[in-house]
Amino acid sequence: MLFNSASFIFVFLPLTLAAFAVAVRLRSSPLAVAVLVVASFVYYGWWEPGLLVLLGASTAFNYVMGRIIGHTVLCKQTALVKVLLSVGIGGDLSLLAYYKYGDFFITNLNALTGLTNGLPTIALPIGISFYTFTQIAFLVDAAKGQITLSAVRSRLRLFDYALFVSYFPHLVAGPIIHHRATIPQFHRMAANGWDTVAIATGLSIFAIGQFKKIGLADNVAPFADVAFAQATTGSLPLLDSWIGAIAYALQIYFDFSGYSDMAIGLSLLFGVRLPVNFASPYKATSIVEFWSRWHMSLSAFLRDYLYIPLGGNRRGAVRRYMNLMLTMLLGGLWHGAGWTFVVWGGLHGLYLIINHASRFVFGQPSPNPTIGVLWFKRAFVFLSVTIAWVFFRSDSMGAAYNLFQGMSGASGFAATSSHAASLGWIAIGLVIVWALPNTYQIFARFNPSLPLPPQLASVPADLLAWRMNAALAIVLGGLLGSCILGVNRFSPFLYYRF
Amino acid sequence: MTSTAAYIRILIASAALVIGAAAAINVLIDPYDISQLVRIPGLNDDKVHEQGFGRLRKPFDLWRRHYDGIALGSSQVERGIDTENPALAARGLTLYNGGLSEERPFEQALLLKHAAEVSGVRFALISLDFLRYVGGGGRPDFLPRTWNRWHGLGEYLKTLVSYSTLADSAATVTASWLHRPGPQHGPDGLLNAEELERAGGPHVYEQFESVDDVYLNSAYAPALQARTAIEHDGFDHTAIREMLATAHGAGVQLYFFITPSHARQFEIINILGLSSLYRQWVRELTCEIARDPGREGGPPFALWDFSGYNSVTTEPVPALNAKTLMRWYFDPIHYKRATGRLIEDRLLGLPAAELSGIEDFGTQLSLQTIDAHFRTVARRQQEYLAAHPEFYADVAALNHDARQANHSDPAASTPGRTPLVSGEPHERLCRCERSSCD
Repeated sequence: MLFNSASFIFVFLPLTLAAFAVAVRLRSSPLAVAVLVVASFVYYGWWEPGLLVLLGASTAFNYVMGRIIGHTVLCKQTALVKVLLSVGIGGDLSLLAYYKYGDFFITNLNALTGLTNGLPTIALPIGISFYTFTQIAFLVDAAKGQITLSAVRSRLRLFDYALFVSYFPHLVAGPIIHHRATIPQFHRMAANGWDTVAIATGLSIFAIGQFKKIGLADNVAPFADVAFAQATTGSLPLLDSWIGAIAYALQIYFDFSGYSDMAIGLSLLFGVRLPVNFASPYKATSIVEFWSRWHMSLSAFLRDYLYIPLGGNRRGAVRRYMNLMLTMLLGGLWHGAGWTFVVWGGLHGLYLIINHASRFVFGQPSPNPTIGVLWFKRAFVFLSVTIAWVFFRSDSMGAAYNLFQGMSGASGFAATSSHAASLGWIAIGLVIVWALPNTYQIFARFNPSLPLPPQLASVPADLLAWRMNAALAIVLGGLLGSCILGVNRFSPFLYYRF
Repeated sequence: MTSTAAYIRILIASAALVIGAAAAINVLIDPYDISQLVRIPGLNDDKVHEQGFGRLRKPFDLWRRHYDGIALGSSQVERGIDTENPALAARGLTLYNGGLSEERPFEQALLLKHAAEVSGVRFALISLDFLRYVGGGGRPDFLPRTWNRWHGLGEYLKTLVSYSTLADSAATVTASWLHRPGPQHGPDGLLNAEELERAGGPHVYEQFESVDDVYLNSAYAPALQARTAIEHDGFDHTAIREMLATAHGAGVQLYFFITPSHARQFEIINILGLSSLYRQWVRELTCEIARDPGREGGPPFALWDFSGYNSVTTEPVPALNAKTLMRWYFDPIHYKRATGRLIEDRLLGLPAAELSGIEDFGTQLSLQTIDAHFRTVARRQQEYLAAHPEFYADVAALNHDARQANHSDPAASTPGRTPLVSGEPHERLCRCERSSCD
């Protein structure tokens, strides 16, 4: 069930809200939690009921491990904590390795050794990467003693934890949430009645998310699809290649940020604020800044639970660069079990190393660059990111090579067809990503999400700030209705596959 | 500044208004002829887009009316099986045409079950098409598990709330206004292909050439890929078994028949080296149906073969640029209503004047007669090709990669040379051993 499907919009969401309304009427947070746990498992089981066993087992395993680790920390048995943490993380990673990387591993092993080992075809359980990471963070924090005595003894109820893992707005494609920021909100849910401001804000953000997905991502997607499909069989001319690559850069942004907007908007209907996942990433003027704006919940996870434990920047420049590269390679692999994803991660690791090294050599960039310098940097970062997306999107390294060959002009310059439509959509997309404020800036006055870092939390001019008036309600309602008319075509979100 | 509650109400009402308006337009214009609320000449009487939505419309038709029988199959059935056959009417029988473009066997099984449950059908004519067994087709996005009322209603509501339906409503209004008819189903599910043919279109020769081209060069690609596996494992007859189960459960008499494609199609299968696989398919079907005891108190279920070389399938194709229409065919795979009537007459034993002079059209298959049938087909093929050497050359000329074809089945590459008909490896691989069928 997709957020942009008729079954979600017309059946699942109204029924869930109706059940939640009972909890609100009774001012009962535990009932609200129970309602949302059931709804979330129904939502997840809609794809494949058998997957509920996996989700349930993973949730129960981590809940038990988290509680045991929490108690062990309280008893100050440090060595045992490390053993338990290893068992917990090992269990989580084993699950991920089996379902997501088993086939990749066997295929590569066969290629290296000439063996013909086979694995039964394993369908990737949807959302497994997200809920596994969420729970690893929970176990690590438990081992650090960040799960409090009261939480361990009384407040961390199984249903709270189950909702933290399975909460349907974030379950299958993030944002990756943190227990410290989320579970306390569950405890307050429904206790004070409906939060109508949050509902108004949530509906409006949900409408914008739908528009990003159906109105923008789905309309630029065909141009990317055509180019990348052609690249699987041969090279293509310069303009076709660039249009394909840029269309994909826009598609993945509108698709994933649209999904994140919908997740944040839906969560607000239940009074729960999720972390922001995108803050105008294509406005970044450096790769370091790009990663502080793109898929922010994953970046934060990789920073806190991989890069820093590896040593971060505390052990010299060389070790720092190695840690960066390793983090990004694993980040690439997290996105998919394929060499194109590894290369994508490696390329971003290289970008980051160059970025940090240049700061080391030339010093920190000016915080107030001239307009010309600002736009040069912005375009340069966009170009670099777009080049990396080619690996991310390509079916194989050969297809990526074909597209790069086209982008270099080595396969000719003549366009295969008229590009008026594709160029028009690309122009619209670039204007939106470069010139307009992002959703959270537009709604900043109404606290739609968990707080943003101060450098990303600027509020736009009054003209572009959202306010509650009838005209905007009609516009956004009309937009939502128009997008719903477009839902009756199968168009899965790109990040569902990760 | 609007109050929060008012803002929420206005936003939801605006969204509902847009959705409701679109749904209302779609219900009234009814581009797929499902709601059937109003039909206003010049506004919505030319439903030019309903053909593609037959998969949704036909189950609704069956809910609305009782039929004695149903015909199931792909577009051949949809255009050819004549629901207005006078011989049927004389017997007081009503027939619904449940043919759907590229209808796959599992869809036939679903629709048969649905028709038995909601429309009370007592007999079913089931067309079997080699391509659908080996080449897939159909709508990969349309995989209903059942056709109950809730499912049908859900599917219909989804089409109402959709831009594509809104666009089709607009096209319906335009076509109705300009009196530009397109292909449409009659009330009993038959597609009006003959009216369209009379209205003009590509010449028959061009139709044959373009369809043969597709079949020769791309349609059978999945069959060529899967040939080895099928030769080893056999065909998937799950749908046949489901239809037999439905027949027993609901008391429906089944009449299976292999579609009467033009003999040129037989040669294409030959050229592609698929003749042996084709005969394996026919033999397995015979086994599957022969081992079923038939409906309690009724005759055993029959399997007829209308393909091969007979008076209908060898009808001469008009020359290039000739405006002549054919008696039996639109193109090499789509037969006309006259042919459909012959099939109905044969299967149901109806008295029909049209059958005189074409007694060689259709053979009932059984395990006892199948080898003799194969030999007869081979003999007729040989005789025909010897008498019409240009026939094979004409088809073979369309092959984009003759070398590959020759390589794939050398026995089939020479005009007039007939592949083996008995003692073939596939005989040993038949899923149903004779002893268990006899």
